[in-house]
Amino acid sequence: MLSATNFSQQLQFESNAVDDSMDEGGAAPHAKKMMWSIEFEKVSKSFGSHQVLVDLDLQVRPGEKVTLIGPSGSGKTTVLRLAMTLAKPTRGDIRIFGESILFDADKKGLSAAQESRIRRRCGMVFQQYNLFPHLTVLQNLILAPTTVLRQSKAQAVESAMVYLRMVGLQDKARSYPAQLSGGQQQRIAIARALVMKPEILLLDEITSALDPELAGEVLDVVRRVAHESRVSLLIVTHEMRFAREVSDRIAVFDRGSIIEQGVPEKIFTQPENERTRTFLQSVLDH
Amino acid sequence: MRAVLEYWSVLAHGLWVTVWVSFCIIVGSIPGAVILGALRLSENRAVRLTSTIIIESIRAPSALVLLYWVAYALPLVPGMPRLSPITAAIVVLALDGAAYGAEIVRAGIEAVHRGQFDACHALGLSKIQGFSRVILPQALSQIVPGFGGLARSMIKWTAIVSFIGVQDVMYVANYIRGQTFDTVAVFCVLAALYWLLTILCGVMFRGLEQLLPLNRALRSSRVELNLTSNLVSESVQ
Ligand SMILES: Nc1ncnc2c1ncn2[C@@H]1O[C@H](COP(=O)(O)OP(=O)(O)OP(=O)(O)O)[C@@H](O)[C@H]1O
Ligand SMILES: [Mg+2]
Repeated sequence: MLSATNFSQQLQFESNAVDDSMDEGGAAPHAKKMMWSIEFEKVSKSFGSHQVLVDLDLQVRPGEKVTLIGPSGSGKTTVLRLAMTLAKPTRGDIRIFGESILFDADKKGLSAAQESRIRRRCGMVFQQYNLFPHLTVLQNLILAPTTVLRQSKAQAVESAMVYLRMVGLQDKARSYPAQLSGGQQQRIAIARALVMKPEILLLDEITSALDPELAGEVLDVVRRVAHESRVSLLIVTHEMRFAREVSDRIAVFDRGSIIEQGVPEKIFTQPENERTRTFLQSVLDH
Repeated sequence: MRAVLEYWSVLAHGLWVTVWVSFCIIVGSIPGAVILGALRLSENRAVRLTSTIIIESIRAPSALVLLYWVAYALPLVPGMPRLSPITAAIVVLALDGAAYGAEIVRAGIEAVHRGQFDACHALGLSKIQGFSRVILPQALSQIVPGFGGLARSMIKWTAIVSFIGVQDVMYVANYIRGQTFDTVAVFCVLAALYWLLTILCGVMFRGLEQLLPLNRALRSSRVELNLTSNLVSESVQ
């Protein structure tokens, strides 16, 4: 269904982007040890009196695929929203390739321009797709490249078509989102995130609004992104088989902190934490 | 009735003034409504408060008081201009329209799904880019019908401009009544003219709705869905 032609080649830039950023980021102090693509340092987040994240530490290496699993309400979506600057932490710092998304060097807040430059390195795909319903598929894909990256329209269309082919929907360029199935819409949403050439891609339960057959075609696309590109993936999912297959590392969340993390093999076969075991039992039973 | 119709050219002139004032205040209120409505939703509290105060202080006094104020009191304030009656009327009624329109714009923006704002942010669009390219075009599908209703009211508001001497259809109707003493016929004609204007305005806004991006998108998907369901039912038969 999805043709593999040129796919690895198309994603090549991402590996370049990662390499470049590792060079240029040399000035940041933590870069000397290890340049993380995303780094949460003692991050807490409260909504009113409700504390959702508690002193969270989480690091993702460039190109690493990390999956967050855990019970509903444990704070997984909140982690992704904080990384995408859709919300601000109550305490702590978050860095993207060594640069704080909250403060400048003098510990003051970032200007809109600084924030936007850093934010551009992240892309996000949502559970509800969030395609722009008043625009065609192609217009959805070229809006950000032409306005944010200031590409010419021809250039943006060319690259949009590459990604549409990649998700197997090149014949839907002129359709409106409402004319597509949920699975097709989500594949378009992934393509729309990828045309911005993010170095980090955040995926929040991107198949949980879909029927199983449609979920499959979306997961196929993510598998290929995972295997053939060097983009860092931070995934939240309830699809345990998919998590096991695609992740380099799994982090188990409970009540706002990571209770256990490790390679999928270990988490799924020999979990150490009692609560991990309870959680896995509850989801694998279903 | 015949006596009234003999004044048709005066009436036509008054009608033309009413149409012109209506057009100016409807179009003139749009930028103010969009800006005030958008600012009402700003994350900055001071901005939100300022726009609320502006909206409320325009809406609080009756439009007629505001009109007298701008026409007669403002020129007495040192350094303030003396506006011609028609300019004063257009300024006041456009401001009034903007204040009411702001609430329609605010409600329209709030009706756009939260996820659309998130998607704009995640794609790196600035607030203004997201607003102008994604949020407002969708909100228009809510705003334009609401604005159509407001515009029809605004046409009727224009009758008060006769109080400061603008020779609109209301003003000339009163003049014709003074000449012919045929009160019933004059006011019947007047009512019919306002009725005609508001109907035309409604038709124009409904036409405008057809052109909105979201309406067009949804219409073309409905057409396609109908086509496929026809195909399905045909193949079943
Ligand atoms: N904007 C908000 N305002 C108030 N509370 C919020 C907000 N966003 C999230 N929460 C609360 O924070 C907690 C964690 O939410 P979050 O969405 O991160 O959980 P999750 O792990 O993604 O859950 P799920 O698996 O159900 O998606 C929940 O109790 C939720 O009610
Ligand atoms: Mg969630």
